[in-house]
Amino acid sequence: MDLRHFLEGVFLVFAALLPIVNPLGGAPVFLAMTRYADDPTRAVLARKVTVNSFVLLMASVFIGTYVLEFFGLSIPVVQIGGGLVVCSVAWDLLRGADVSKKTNAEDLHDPEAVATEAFYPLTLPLTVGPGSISVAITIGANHPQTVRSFLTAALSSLLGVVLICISVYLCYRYAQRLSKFLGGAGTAVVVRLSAFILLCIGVQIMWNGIDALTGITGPPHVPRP
Amino acid sequence: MFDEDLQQLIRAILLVVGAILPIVNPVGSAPMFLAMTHGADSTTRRTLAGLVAVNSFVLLLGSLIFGNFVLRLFGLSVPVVQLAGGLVLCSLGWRLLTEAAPTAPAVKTNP
Repeated sequence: MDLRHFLEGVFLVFAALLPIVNPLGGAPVFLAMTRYADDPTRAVLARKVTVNSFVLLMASVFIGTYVLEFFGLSIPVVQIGGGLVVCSVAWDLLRGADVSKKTNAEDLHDPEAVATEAFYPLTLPLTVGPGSISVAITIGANHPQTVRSFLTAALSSLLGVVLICISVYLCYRYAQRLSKFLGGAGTAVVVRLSAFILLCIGVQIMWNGIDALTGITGPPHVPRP
Repeated sequence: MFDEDLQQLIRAILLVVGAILPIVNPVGSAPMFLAMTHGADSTTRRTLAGLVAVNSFVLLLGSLIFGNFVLRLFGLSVPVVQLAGGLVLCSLGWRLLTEAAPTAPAVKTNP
């Protein structure tokens, strides 16, 4: 009985998060953001992003509800704020200077800069964005009654998030093979195209939040934090 | 039999051309192309025209074949793409409009 609940929980968490974290779609963006980094740096970045994503997702599942409550925030507001951040990153990537010109090449050889870059913007908001965070908060929002069911839910969330992070690592670690395959001009095209898709994603997330708050396409549905 | 197929083919070609031509609007875009490439000599401009044509072909064909799939993969709706694309277009137009003297030698623009 518990085992079945556990497996169902793992599947639910994995299936709910995978399309939003979307490691396959994120790989070209990761490639675009790290286009000046060399091979070992990119490997380090992939590992750091994976660890950061794990911590961020677990924190959202377990304490997300309380953080939102503490600051008096609702999930649509998180979506609007996060969507803005995603749009801003995408905008820089899309309208940024010549792709072939190195701007922060030296920065990425400094280990401390790598760690900073790995959290913002690579982990938040590009890998675990506002969409993923709001889903993770929703997953953690139903409080089980007994200790036993709490443990089952907690363990299944843990395993589900671990599976998501493994898929993120695999996709990002092998993103450079795509880069070698595409070559210089091809990578420039992928950078611009994924920047545009990222901009669309940002607008979509913002729109979801605005729609939920104002109820333009239906009655407003603001989930209480 | 062949007549019918031929008719259908012509109809489909006309549909695609008729739907895309007013939006791509090559005649209307020509002055835009001129404005964006001011400062370039005519050889560069010819090369650019060829590259833009090839890129447009790939992008349009890609949208035609994979567009639906890509939108579903990222959970996007068509109006959102219009909104985001309109923003980019506005920013480009704004820069063109407020740009300093159009006679000044342009920095190589590569949007």
